[in-house]
Amino acid sequence: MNQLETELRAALHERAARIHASTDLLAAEYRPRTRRMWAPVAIGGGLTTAVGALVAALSLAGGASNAFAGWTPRPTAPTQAQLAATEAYCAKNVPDPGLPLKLIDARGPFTFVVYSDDSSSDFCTTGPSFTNASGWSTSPPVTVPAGKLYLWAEHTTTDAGHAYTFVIARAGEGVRAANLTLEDGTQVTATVRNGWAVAWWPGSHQLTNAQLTTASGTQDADVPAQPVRPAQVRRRRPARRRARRRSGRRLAPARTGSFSQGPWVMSAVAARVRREPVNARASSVLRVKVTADAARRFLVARHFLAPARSLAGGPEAVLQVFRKFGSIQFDPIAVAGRNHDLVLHARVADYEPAWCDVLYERREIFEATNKALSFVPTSEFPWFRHVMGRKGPRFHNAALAENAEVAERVLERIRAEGPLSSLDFERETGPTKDWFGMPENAVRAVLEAYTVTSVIGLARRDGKLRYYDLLDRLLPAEVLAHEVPEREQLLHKLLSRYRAHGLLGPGGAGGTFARIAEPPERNALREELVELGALVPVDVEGVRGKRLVVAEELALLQAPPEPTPSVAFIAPFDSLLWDTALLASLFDFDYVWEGFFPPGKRRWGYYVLPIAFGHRFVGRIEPRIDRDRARVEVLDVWWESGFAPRRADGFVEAMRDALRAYLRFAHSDRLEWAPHLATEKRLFLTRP
Amino acid sequence: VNGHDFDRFVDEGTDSLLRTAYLIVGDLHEAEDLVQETLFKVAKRWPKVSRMDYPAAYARRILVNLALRGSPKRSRRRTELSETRPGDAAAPAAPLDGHDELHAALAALPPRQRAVLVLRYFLDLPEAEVAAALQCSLGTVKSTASRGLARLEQTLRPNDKRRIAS
Repeated sequence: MNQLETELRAALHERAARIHASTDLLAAEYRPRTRRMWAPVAIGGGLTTAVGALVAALSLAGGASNAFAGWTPRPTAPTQAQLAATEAYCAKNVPDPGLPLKLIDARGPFTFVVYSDDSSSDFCTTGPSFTNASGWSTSPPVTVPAGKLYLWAEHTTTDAGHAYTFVIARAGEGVRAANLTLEDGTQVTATVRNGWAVAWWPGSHQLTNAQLTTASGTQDADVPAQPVRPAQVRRRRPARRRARRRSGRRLAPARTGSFSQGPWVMSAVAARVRREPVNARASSVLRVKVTADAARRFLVARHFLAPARSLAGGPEAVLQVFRKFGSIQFDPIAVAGRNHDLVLHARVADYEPAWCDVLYERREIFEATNKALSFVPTSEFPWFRHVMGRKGPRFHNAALAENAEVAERVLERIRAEGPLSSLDFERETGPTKDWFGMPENAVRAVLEAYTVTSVIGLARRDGKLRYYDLLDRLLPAEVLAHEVPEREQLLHKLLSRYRAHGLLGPGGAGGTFARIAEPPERNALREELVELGALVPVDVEGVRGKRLVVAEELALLQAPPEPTPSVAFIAPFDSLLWDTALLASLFDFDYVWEGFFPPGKRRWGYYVLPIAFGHRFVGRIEPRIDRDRARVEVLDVWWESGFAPRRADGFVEAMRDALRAYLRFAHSDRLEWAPHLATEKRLFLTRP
Repeated sequence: VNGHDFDRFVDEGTDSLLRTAYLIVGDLHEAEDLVQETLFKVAKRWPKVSRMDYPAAYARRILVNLALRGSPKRSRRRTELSETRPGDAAAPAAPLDGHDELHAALAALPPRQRAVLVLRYFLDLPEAEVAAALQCSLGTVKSTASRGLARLEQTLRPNDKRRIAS
């Protein structure tokens, strides 16, 4: 990256050096008029006066034709009075007074003066009809080869039909004179002195050619800038901007009829830059388009499912999944294995549920609330401290206050005895009501309140029993000491949802974005993530609305690997399944977890796992682990319409492999197929 | 006395503010508008601002805020303008020495990411000051900067897949 950083630094400085503040900026009156404390002196007062004089001069002169009366294509010798006037005006108005004088270009009654040292340059123009002072500081030192001219700025100022154009160039050693040819054939001689060359002329014709005179003769100049095309000649500040300047609380100097100072234009690549707007805003943030097939391949690949169960490394591989997804949802239902175990089983080779327990004991992962109760990498814990709503600190502080006495006892015992569960305390009731308005076990309420307020944390689980300990005994001091502003936490949480899924849209089904913020703020957070570049909007063929991909995965999305013929059983709360709308539009797969449905309303079953094959969803399976008998019962299997397991290339072998792995995961030695699944039983006959 | 200080502040600070704004928004007119608005805001609170340790940092924060906040409205307005005035280019200065691609890549970055890179690599601010200007955490600055660089790297050297993945 070092080289890129250097390059970037250089590029930014180079680009910045090419602009020039309009004098409006310095001349404008920023101070509110109503405030008495301001001295009634305008900044740039001198300029205002000068401009006032100009208005008079112009109206007396009666128009454009006389605006540049007296101008000459060849420099003239300035008169004493002219120099004195220039001196008086410029010394007061240039941004960096005191810079060494480098060059005076006089053309009739007009003067153009350059002051400069190595890092700053000021330019000052005076004449009977206009004055202008501007500065250019901290430009990088320019080295111009001997006998060459480096076109630094070519600038046309236009107003009400009056235009003048000037060229400022750096001259290399040995350049004695420069003759410029304009588009219309006009010849203008520049003033060359002290490494500078300056010329200006009425009108907006651009420089097309330069002839340099050096000791070795006169020749066409190698000016490293192309002549500009006529279309680029006229450049003015947009009308709206001037209107704004004049109206309202900001008071601009009276500039009506004067020559407004337009933007600086380097001619060289202006045309091309115009065609590709540089104003990269939301509208022009890189929008990637991908095909549906690429999106499917990307999703299974970024979910470590191509092929499934291939992430090697044991507990370290588990951590790798955690670091990628940011969090994995915890759910106590263990009919087919607990959710986080199934999630990891599908991705990590030979996954053992005990690995997660070990990681928890080692405090590599910790329990926190994200979309739902989740395990997060301990290093990310500081971003998951803020919890919203009924589960938030306000509610729980109230619970602590209501049960102050119980709270104190609970904390004292944990402090003295180490990790304790609510069963270690006698049931005590207090005024706190649970969700249904019934008196709640005060100890449990206190334990939960202390968890949310980061006093205690989950030390371990024993079945459904939770053991709590003081948080500062559970987590490393540096993690606890790391305080993250609330907004940062919200951003992190929102990003974690995109990290977990890979291709979410702005909204999502089933609480995909729950517990972050209300939609308006959430939208702002999301836009901030896009502006920060953490998320990149993409269009997916066949999917409505934009999708957002985590920036780090953009390359993978644009070049996803070929799918592999492997089968994975996907857990109901696996983040891959979060966006059911995407499952329908991208995978043509209709999925919903039916655990909450009454049995009569279930189309499939209670705890059904979609079967992913390569980058498709081809069916679903409802397994049940019978731990006492060390069996896995397959309650049911469904195939997507049009999918024939027997005929799909490589499927049978892949399915057998998945079933074998699942048996090992469930610590079972046999599959028991429901009676109506005789076909499947024969097809996938599996021994561990 | 205050007024005089403010004049000096404007004289000394405008240049850097303008260049910063220009690099972030890529449009000189808009950059000038932003600077003017910033200076106006600073002026309104000058008695307080002048007592700050770093008035310039305060101005920078306002500027960055304005540059990133009002963006949708302004960019819409500019689109209208450019439609009606095709000849009008607030043309950014043209790079002459081979930074073209880098500038194009920068322009394609999301604004906030670009802002971080500009503050970090143009103004050479320490990360903590970038964080202050953007009102975000140090971590966000670091991750945003590294993402921005990665994105530039990816745009400039698209063939080097290995680096992107890491």
